[in-house]
Formats: sequence, C-alpha cells, structure tokens
Amino acid sequence: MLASQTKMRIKISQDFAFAPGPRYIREGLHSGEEFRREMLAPAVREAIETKQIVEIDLDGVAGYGRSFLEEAFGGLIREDHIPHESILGAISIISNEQPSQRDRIYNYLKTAHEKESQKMASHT
Amino acid sequence: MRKSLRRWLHTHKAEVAITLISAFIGFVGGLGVRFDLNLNFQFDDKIDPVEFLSLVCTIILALVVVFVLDRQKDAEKSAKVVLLKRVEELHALVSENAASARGGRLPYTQAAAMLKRVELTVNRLWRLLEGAEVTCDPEVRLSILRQLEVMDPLLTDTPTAAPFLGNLPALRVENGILLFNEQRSNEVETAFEDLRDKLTTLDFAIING
Repeated sequence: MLASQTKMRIKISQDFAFAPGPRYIREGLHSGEEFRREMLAPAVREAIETKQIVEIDLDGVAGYGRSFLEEAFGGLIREDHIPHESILGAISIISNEQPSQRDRIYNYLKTAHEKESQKMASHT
Repeated sequence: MRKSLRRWLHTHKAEVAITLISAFIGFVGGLGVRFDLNLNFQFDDKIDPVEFLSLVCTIILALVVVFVLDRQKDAEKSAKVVLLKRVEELHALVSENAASARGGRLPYTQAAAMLKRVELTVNRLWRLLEGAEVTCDPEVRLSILRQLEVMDPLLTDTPTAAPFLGNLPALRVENGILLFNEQRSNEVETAFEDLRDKLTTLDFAIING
C-alpha cells in the first residue's frame, strides 16, 4: 500500500450491524452474503478502479461467526469473481480486538482463490 | 455486641493468641524475678540506651512488616474475589448458551457473541491477574483459547452450498437459529462441557495463584 493512496472506510459495527449474522440471506438477518453484496463488493470494486484502499474495521461488533467472514471475503472471489491479487491490493483489515480474525480472512481469500483456480483448471 | 465480639475474636485469632502467650511469658518472667527463683537467669539492673533503642526499632519493624504483609494479603484477596466474579459471569454465559443449544434455540449471533466475549474476557482477566500480581499457569488461559478454537467451527461454520435437497448438513441455520444433526449436537454438548471444565480450572488457578 502506498502512503499516498486514499482510503475508503467500512466500520462493520457502525455501517452494517452490531451483531453480524450467518452466511446466507435466506438463513437470517445481517448475513455475510448481504454484507458482501451491499457493502464490501461495491467498495472493493471502486477501490480497485480508483486505486484506493478499503479499510475494513472489524472491531466493535458482538462477534463474528466463521460463515459470515468466509462468505463476505471468500465470496468476493467465488461469487463476485474479483481477482485475488486485486483484492489483496485493495483491502486493509483492522482487527485489534481479535487479531487472529485478520489472518483468518486472508486465509479465506487464499482458499477461495485456490478452489476457483482448481475449478478453472478442470474446466479447460 | 456479643456477636460482633465473637466475630472480631474469630478474625483476630492469631493476634489474640500471641498477646495471651506474651502476657503469660511476661507474667511468669515477672514472678521469677520478683520471687528470686533460681532459674539461672542473669539480669542487669542498668539499661543500655543503644540496646533499648535497637529493641524498640526491632519491635516497630516487626509491626510494620506484619501490617504491610496483612494489607498486601487483603488486597490480593479482594482482587481474587473480583476476578472470580468475572469468571462466574462467564460460567453463567456458557451455561445459558449450552442450554439454548440443547433446546435447539441458540441464535447464530448469540453463539458468535459468546465465543468472542469468552475470548476477550479471558485475555482481559489475564492482564488483570498480572496487574494484581496473582501468578497463574499460562497453560490455563491457552487451553481455554484452544477450546474456543474447537467450538468456533462447531457452532458457526456452515457449508457453502445451494439449499440442501438430500442429507441435512451437521450444522444449518434457519431464521437465525442454529440447528444441529444428532452427531453435531453431541459434539457441541461435549465442547460446552469441556469449556466449563476449563473455566473451573481457571477458578482454581485464581484461588491458588
């Protein structure tokens, strides 16, 4: 990330929900799918186009389930087909309360990328 | 009045015993000197001011040490009481969530919130323990955090798939509520029990720390 890059900011507890929900919209309120569709994917796409950084602040919520985070971030690759490298260059994760969540998100992105790559390879 | 006297005596047993023993020794010693009993004691009738000052200093020092140690012990004890209360709250939270899971009415958001709260509270407690100079085995904290790592996928990791048409997955969410198959239900029950055991170990660690 360059020092001159401007930042967009999403604070999930304030901009989305204090209690993030399950994976899919059909499973309950404030799902990872909803967050990705409504907030994260548009912000990441804009950040890639305008060469900005989206700062995603995870702190301040009641708690995240794994499915929420996997769907929100892994889904960027699986469902929105945004390239892995582009996402890595466009996001910055803040998680001071639970620092392990940050690594977990990068892991979800990596796993989703690997699975998509395998799928593409098997199609060709 | 009698009750408070009894309580005072109960809490100051050691001091009362020491006073009585000292008084008894003093009394017997006094008798020995007064009646000139042949106890092979030799008494000097002159008081050396240096020795007297040294004796006074020793007594004052002993009193100060006892006072400081007592204060320190009291502070440690009240810190432990506060910390144990925090662990008690975690016990209640975990038990409540375990009961909800058993009854098939545990919301996804509540399970996620419990996992985060236990993690943050245990980490905070550890900082407080260090601040209060109560030493506990770090393995106690790590075992709780490891248990949360075990429970996290059991409670919050649903599969990525289209709506299931065949076999139900081990964990699914309907209207925000967690639903387990029989095997997962048993695993969840055991995981909650293990977490409770580890919190009890934390209780003991604080008490003995």
